[in-house]
Amino acid sequence: MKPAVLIIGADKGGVGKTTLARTVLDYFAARNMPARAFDAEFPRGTLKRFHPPQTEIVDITTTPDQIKILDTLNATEVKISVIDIRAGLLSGTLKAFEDVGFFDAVRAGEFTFGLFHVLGASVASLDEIDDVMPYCVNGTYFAVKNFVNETSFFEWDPVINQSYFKKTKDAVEISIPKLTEMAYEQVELAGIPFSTFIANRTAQGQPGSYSLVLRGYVRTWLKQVFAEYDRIDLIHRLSGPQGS
Amino acid sequence: MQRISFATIVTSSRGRDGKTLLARLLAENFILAGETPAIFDTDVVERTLSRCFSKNAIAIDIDRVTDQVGLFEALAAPSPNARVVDLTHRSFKKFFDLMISSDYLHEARERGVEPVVFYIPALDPDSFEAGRQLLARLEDYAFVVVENPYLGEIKPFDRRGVGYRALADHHLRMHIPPLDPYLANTVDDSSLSLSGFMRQPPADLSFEARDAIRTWLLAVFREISRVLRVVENPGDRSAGSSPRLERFSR
Repeated sequence: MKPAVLIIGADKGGVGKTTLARTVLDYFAARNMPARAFDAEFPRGTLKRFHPPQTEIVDITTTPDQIKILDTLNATEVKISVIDIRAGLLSGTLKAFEDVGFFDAVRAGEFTFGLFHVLGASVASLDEIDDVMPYCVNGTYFAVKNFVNETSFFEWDPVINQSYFKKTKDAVEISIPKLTEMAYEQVELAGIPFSTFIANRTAQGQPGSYSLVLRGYVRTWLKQVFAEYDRIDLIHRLSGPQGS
Repeated sequence: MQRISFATIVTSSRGRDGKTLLARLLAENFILAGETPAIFDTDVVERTLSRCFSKNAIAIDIDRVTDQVGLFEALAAPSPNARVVDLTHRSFKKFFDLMISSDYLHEARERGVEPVVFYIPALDPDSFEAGRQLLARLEDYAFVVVENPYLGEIKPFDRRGVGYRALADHHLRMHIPPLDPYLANTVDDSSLSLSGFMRQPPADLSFEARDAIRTWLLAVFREISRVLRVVENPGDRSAGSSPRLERFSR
């Protein structure tokens, strides 16, 4: 498998980027595909709180941290790198990656690339599509509708929806279902991966005391999310041939 | 060896099938055995079971996540006392979806709690089919098919369906013996403690009424004890086999 980079981002904030990154890391672990993660929520870090062993906090706007990510893609045994981009930095990061030749390497078949573009409910979120789509010519553009917090989407207005999505014929649509608020909050409070919560373990690997009902909700929800990733054949799309 | 405690769930796919009566009898049976059962009434509209146990029944609204958490935590908590759930048909699907998705059985057994589902089929094929599907979903659970004679006779034609056959063939069954309708009204009085009746029947009833109700209660409690003994000791021959049920004989 070629090294793969999966960027998860949106210029708009509060659309659930880190939640998505957490599900993706759980998914790769469940499918025995080791992944490393970079948390661009510099300097605080959010993803790192949930997946500390495999996550590094980076300042994606700086050259040293860009080197830390891109120059190590070939050097590591772990073939999938997930980058959770902080709100507002998606377009800038893609531009920076283009400037350093990352997309040329993708085009040349050295790496594979996927973008999880997490869409919010507003039309402003759709406007981002124009900005980020050009970077996905040799990669895979995933349009992610995140219903985890019961967002109502613009797709109820078919005219608006079609006007945007006709520009993204090759987009792979992903829908993340809603998770009961109380279950979501409990995992947030626990600060552990969803899979660890389901297994009723603490961050230290000790038996936990989380509600079995809430664990059941998370188990059912994560199963649906994994089914969605299976449906779009996420691993194959990231490991398969891209570029020219 | 640590003794298990029971989490009993009484359900049917529709209303007026005798769920609350059986839940009440289960609770009274545990009280007579010296336990202090936790009693949950999921019918937040009628609250019939709550009226029978006004001091210790807990009303649960299954549609509220906080109530779901409270109920299932209580049902899985290690405790020497039994738990009784009167599961309204309106919450039938939601409750069992939660039960399965939360892997409740595993958690309960780990803590010495044995769940037992009592399903009361009505007279119609839909009810048999709902029971068959539930039985299939709960294949690792102790599942008891309950015959309630008050529901009447099942039509011969309706005995031909796969739902009926699945319930008729099920190995764990119990029978609620019939009681004279006049005396049944006495038993229906929610202010009457049935365990109290067994200890000391009320003096304002005739000797014949007291005797008939006591005999009936004794038969019911024996039947409950027999079923729970089978659940607790599946290989115990002294517990006796399940009777062929009149309505469910093939």
